This record gives sequence, structure tokens and C-alpha cells, in this order.
Amino acid sequence: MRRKPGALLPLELEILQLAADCSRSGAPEFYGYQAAAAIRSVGGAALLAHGTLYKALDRLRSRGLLVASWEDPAAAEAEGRPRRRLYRITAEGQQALADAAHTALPPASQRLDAPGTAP
Amino acid sequence: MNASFARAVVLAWARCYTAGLDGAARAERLAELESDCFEHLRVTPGFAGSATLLLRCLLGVPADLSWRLEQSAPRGYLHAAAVIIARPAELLLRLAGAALAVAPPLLAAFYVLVALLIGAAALQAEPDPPWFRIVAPWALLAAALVVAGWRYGGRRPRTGALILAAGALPLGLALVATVVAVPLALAATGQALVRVVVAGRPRTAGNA
Repeated sequence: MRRKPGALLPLELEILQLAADCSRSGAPEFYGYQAAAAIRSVGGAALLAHGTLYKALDRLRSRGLLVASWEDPAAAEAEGRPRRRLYRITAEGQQALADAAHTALPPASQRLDAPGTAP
Repeated sequence: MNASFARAVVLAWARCYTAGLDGAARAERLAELESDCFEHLRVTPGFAGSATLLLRCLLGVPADLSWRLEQSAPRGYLHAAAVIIARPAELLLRLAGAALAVAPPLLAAFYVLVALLIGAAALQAEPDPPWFRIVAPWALLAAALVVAGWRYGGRRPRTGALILAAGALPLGLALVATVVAVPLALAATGQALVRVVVAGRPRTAGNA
């Protein structure tokens, strides 16, 4: 079934909701694995597949609902890990989330307490 | 299965499906996956982490391919599909080329083996059917023709191909029951024909 142009998939809404939660919590940026772990903690299932997650993030970014930037290399190097690509919700993203009639998501606190999501 | 193997598989698959993309998009996807693998294996080390990392990669394959096709939409889906299958196809062609290259000596060796086995059997007892007497010398002659055609084909491809085919095909068809003979004979003849085709290509001005 082909979706309507402009419509958001449930996963995209989940990601936008997570981004909005991050924004409200004072740490507005999140990275791919953090999103996978947080959404898993809500659904209770396995971690999101790479292809599914990054395709959704790419689509949200290309629609202007998220913006992405690369972490400062020095920060990553100091922690001995690869650089993270950081996402942040935009005003358009906030609006799209508000417009979506999607109220079945759990509260923000459950997402941000997800295991393995240390910033 | 260890962590570096799982990580290598994830990144190898990503290199495969991002082949042909513009440099920045490809580098960003690879860097993002590199980071994801690191975080995943840091949070879930050991076998469980490696296994779930591979599972995430496997379950995401349809979405990866769909994303890749979307990236190529302006240039057409056929182009994207061609790029994705180009590398495995190139590898298969190289393997086929290598198989063709070794077919003549393999066939000659097989014919010599046939000559030895049938010759030894014919010496010990009355061969049945009687025409088996000629198979051993025929096989030796065929092996010699195959080797001669193969070597001579380097200088005169057409003549070499004729000599090789004369040695390879009749005995190959006569030994159809061995299963091996026909494909080997066809491959050896195919190798000789490839030489003929390559030699018949128009030369560049510098070589003319």
C-alpha cells in the first residue's frame, strides 16, 4: 500500500516524539543508536534494524523535520569512539508532530531512561 | 563469531549497497554505521552483541535497498540495480574467465587419464565393446591436439581454435557418460573462440 504524500509512518512519529522529548529534556540532540535503543525500550522488541532506522532518519531530515550535524571530532576522540551524527528536531518537525493524531506513545521519561543511551 | 567480524559484515554490506552513490552520501552512511556498530557493541558486548548486530543488519536489508533506489531515482531504478549487482557480476565474470583459461589443460589432463585407465583395462582383458581398443590412442591424440591448439592459439587464434576443437569435441561427445568430458570440452573450445573474437577486434590506430 502506497502512503499518502506527506504522511508520517508510525516509526517516523516515534522518532519525532523522541526528538521532541530530547529537546524538552535540555539535551536536544540524539544519535542513531540512541534512537534504536529508546524505541526498543518502548516497544520491548529487538533493536531497530539499521536499514529501517537510518532510512527513516534520512527521510525526516530530507523533509526538514530533523536537522543533522556531525559531532566535534575532538569530543569523539577524547572518548575513544567514532563520531556520532547528531539529530535535532526543527520547528517544522514540532509542528508535524503536533499535527499528527498519534497519542499512543508513552511518556517522555520512559524513553530517556532507556538503557545504553548515555549521551 | 566475534565483534570485529560482525562489524566487518555490516560495513561490507553498507559498502556494497552504497556503491555508486556520490562520495559525501556514501561516506556519511558508512560513518554513521561505524558509530552505530561501536555503540551497539559497547552496550552489548560478546556473542550476544555480535549476533544482534548481524540481525539488525540482515533485517534492514530491504530498507537499505529501498533507500538506495530512492537515492538513485533521478538516474533511474535500473541504473541503481545495475550498480548494486555490478560487483558480484564482475566477480562471477572473472571466475568464469579463470575457469575458461584453465579448461584446455584440464581437458588434456582428463583425456590422458582416460587413455591410461582404458589402456590399462584393454591390456588386461578383451575389451567390450571392441572399439574400446581405439579409445586409449584416440584420447592421447585428442590430448595432444588440445594442448597444441591451446599453445598455437596464442599466435594464430583461428587455426589454434580449429585444432583444439578437433581434439576436444569428438572425444568429449563420445565420453558423454563421464559427465565431465562434455562441459570441459565445451569450455576449452569456448576459450579458443574467445581468443578468436578478441583477436578479431579492430585495433587502435597506434597498433595498426
